[in-house]
Amino acid sequence: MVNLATSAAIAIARGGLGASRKWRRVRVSVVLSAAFLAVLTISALFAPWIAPYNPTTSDVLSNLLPPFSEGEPGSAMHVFGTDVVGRDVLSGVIYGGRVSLTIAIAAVVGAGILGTVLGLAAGYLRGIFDEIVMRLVDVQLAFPFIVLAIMIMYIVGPGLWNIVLALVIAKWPIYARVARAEALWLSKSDFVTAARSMGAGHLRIMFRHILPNAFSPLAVIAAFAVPQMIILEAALSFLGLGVPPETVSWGSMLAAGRVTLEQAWWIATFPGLAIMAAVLSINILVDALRVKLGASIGDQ
Amino acid sequence: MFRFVSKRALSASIVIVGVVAVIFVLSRMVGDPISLMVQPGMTQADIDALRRYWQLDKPILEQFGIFLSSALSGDFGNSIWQNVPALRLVLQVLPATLLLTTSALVFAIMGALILGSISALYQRSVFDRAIGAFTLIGQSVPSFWLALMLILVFANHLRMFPTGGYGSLRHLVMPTLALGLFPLARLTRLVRNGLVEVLAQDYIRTARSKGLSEGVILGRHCLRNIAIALVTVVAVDFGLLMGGAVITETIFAWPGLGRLMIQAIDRRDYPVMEAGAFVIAISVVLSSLLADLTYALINPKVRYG
Repeated sequence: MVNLATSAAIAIARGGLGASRKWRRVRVSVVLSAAFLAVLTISALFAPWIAPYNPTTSDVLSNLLPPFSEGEPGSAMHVFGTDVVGRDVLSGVIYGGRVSLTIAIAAVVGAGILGTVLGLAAGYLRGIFDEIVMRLVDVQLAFPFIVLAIMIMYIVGPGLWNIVLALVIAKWPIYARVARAEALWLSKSDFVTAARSMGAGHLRIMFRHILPNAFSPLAVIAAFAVPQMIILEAALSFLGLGVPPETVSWGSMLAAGRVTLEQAWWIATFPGLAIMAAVLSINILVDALRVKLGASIGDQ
Repeated sequence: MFRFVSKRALSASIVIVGVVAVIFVLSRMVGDPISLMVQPGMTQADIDALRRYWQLDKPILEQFGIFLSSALSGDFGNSIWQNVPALRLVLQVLPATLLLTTSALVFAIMGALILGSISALYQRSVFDRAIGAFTLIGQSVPSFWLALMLILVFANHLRMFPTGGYGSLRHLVMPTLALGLFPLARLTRLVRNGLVEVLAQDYIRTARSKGLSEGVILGRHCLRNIAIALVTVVAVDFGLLMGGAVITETIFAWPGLGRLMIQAIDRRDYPVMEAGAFVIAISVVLSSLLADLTYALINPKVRYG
């Protein structure tokens, strides 16, 4: 089970979600993806200056306006319409991107560090520590992580950093597995023996000698994990377990739009499109980078 | 082979016991069900009696001991809300979930074989490009948003399918699409890339020069060779599907395990949560065990120590 799933994970990391070198017409799509992500990042960073409205200010008199409705005289057009209490959907998408991207990146970094450290230690130290970590990994992978994340969110309650915590706990095992697999064979290599014979300590060998060599596959997995985290955050917020009620995220907007789906299609549609475009762009871009760096990342 | 099977079975059962322990700890941390059951007018003595009745007054370790020994005999206790055996509740809704996940998986595998073969046989054609774009997009759509969009278009506007519920084939269509798109996209890519590699092999040229038809070549020589990769990914995807079913079932009001679990977590109904997670974990562990065995069967070169 361990070997099979690990090799599948590594194969996916190396083979990627995206086009193989033989199946590639990425030029245009890569440029578009990079452009979209740039726009998204800038609008997330400078949301207060870019968003036409405050995403949490309601205006009941102009609620459920369809896209491209004129705002009140002197204010901007509601390009994506307004929701049930008159909040501007475009502004919500811009501010929501800020929340969703922050959570996704923080969760990937957190899960990556936790999983890598545990996995490296397990593969390098072996023995009882290895057994404990890997059984923990097995137990967690037998558990659909959405169920795990839901339970954690119930325990810690809604909140930005609580989502990050839930996602880190739910997603560290994959890094642990890959880091362990790399550490296992790297710790038998000559340069580790050499380092050891020169008197290097365990920590130094693990982090100065093994980690740099195991870094590429881990980095690819982490990069592909960002879009997954965006979707997971949206799923939790969609179920009402993610961000606190007054915070706007793509998932919480979807949840609100679900209720008014029949009268107002735009409320659920635009945040969903934003999620899809962000996820697609990151996937395309990471994949192109992976192919570009292919020689060094692919096979060691 | 026997040693391999028993070794795998042992590690699988360790995993299941571990899952039960994790569930126990997490569900106790979620909160106190008794506080949700208190009605106005109950005295403290009534509340204590409730607590005693559900054995929640005992020390936590003793609760775990009671729990583990009865769980291993299939008894998770009664649902705190409905007062019927929790495992029975779970097993009642399990067929609905299995129907949904199986249907999504079959949809994904069949679709992937067809789309992947077309894509590989007509490399660089318009089809290939369209299918390539489809696989990228299909892996980027959140299933719950897709579910909403399907409801919007096919239920609210076209009135082709019901917005939710259970019972007929028409109820099954939209949940299957919502749940199956991601694995479909992933498997299509896998089939396509695998076929492209195989089709370039010498033995395919040999088979062609023997005058075998394209159908025989594809079916007997190519697909068999990509079956291993397919089995691995399908096994991994089955776990994902069980998780994805939680949200899909909630949106489509599908009376399955996922919806039951969400309700149980909402009501702090420990026994149902525990029984549900137990059953999910067993099915995930079994599917990967099955994948390991199939893997060993398909590929005689694989020898497990």
